[in-house]
Amino acid sequence: MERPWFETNPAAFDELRGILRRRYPTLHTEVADLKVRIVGTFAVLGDVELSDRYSICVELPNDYPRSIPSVWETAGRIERVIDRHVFPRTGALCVGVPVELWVRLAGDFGIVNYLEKALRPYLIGNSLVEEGKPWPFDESPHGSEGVLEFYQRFIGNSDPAAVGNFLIAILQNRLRGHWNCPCGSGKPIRNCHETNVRALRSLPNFLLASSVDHMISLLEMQTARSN
Amino acid sequence: MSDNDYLKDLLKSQRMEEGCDQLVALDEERDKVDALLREAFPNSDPDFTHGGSRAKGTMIREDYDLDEVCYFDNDDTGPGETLEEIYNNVAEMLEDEYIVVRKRSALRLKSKKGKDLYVDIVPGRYIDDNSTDVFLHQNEGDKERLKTNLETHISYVRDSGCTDVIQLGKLWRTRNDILIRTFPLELLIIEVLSGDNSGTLQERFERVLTAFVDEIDDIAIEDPANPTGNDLSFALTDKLRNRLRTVAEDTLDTAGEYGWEHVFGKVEKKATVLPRVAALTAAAASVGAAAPPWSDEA
Ligand SMILES: [Zn+2]
Repeated sequence: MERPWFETNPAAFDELRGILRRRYPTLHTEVADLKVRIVGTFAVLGDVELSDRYSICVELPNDYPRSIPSVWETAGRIERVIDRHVFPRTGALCVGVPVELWVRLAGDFGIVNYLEKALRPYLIGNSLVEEGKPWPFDESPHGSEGVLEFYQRFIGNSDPAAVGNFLIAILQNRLRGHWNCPCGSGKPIRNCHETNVRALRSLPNFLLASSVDHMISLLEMQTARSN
Repeated sequence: MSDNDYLKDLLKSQRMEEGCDQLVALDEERDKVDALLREAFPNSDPDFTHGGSRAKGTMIREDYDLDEVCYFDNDDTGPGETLEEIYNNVAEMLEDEYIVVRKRSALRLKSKKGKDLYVDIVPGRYIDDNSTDVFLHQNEGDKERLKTNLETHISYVRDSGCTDVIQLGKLWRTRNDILIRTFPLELLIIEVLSGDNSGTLQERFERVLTAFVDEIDDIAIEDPANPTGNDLSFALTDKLRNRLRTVAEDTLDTAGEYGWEHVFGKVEKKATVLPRVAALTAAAASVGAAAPPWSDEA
């Protein structure tokens, strides 16, 4: 069996613990079952007068910091239902569409980047919803619809067939900058959504492939509906 | 400011003054339960009184609840023949007004909407006419009943000379999400400091954390109200001891590296405290755009 990252790279593990001491003194590493989990409280509001802390457990992937960690709220504060963006089966929080997280965090799932850019907004949003306020950010539909909506926001196309074909072109490395932009502007990509398209080209293949799968299931649902 | 002065200020900021909103809310709930009890058991005259941190003087703002004991006379069968019946009858009676979470011996009250009210009701029965010892029903564990004594517990903690370190320990427990209950934590702290309780607040707290790092496996705790009879091992599992050790080690390292203010955060009061929603909205604005939450299951 492959040795876990914190054994092959003890310096990286020490660095992680140093980051926690410096930035998150109430979060601590816990090593068990060949995994590193980060356990403790995370402050959304940190004042004595106005404190709002979540009990969390972040499970780091074996290729930390390359893949997306999983995270749980451990005090039973966030209800385990899909409308609160919790995976009902595992109880893990769904902090974002994986492709979108990857793009926003530029593939860096180091603990600071993950906590600040992925988890913090999610928890702030949850606290506002608890207060009866609307979710302060965009909110994705569940499942494949949510993935499509990301591509709509990101490259301006909401047709699953077009998005799917575009992603396949990226996967097969056929995409060229003089192609017409997927948003339908009629302009070449390099004069239109170039930055976003470049971000998609930096995605790992498995994420692109999973997006293609989501587009296919949307097409299947459309076909089923029209029959 | 020295680290020790900082820790003293921190405790001051955690103090709950009589008349503060939280205590008033607790007292209102307490009086409501009191009235419900009198109505449901008109022929009983239970002692209904503060237990827990309110009585011990160890309440803190960030982690408080109200333990109210409800002890019936030894020969009073109004609320039930057996301890289990008493426990269940009190629970069922409260369920008309509250969501009742059945804990080991206590009943935790939530509003019907699910909001935690931070109130625990502990039903029990005096063991005889002359003693202040009581039997409590136990939902979990191998013994169905537990003999204990509230007055002994309260005075053991209140008069330990350690209530300041205990308050700090509770804050440390809560901030770091260590799942140890208050009573075993109090016993651990008192046990460590029973050897040497001299020095400043900082020195004494650091002594406790150092003992957690070096000898947590060897520290034994016993119930002062029933030293040989009540097994507290369930309250201090190996997993929990490990967690106490690692968090204590991290905390001491962090305090050594950056000072205690870094561990617990600034305490000076802001001139104006934003309303909660405004503070959260400002926090949302400061993180900028966020990835919308999602789920892979439709
Ligand atoms: Zn475009």
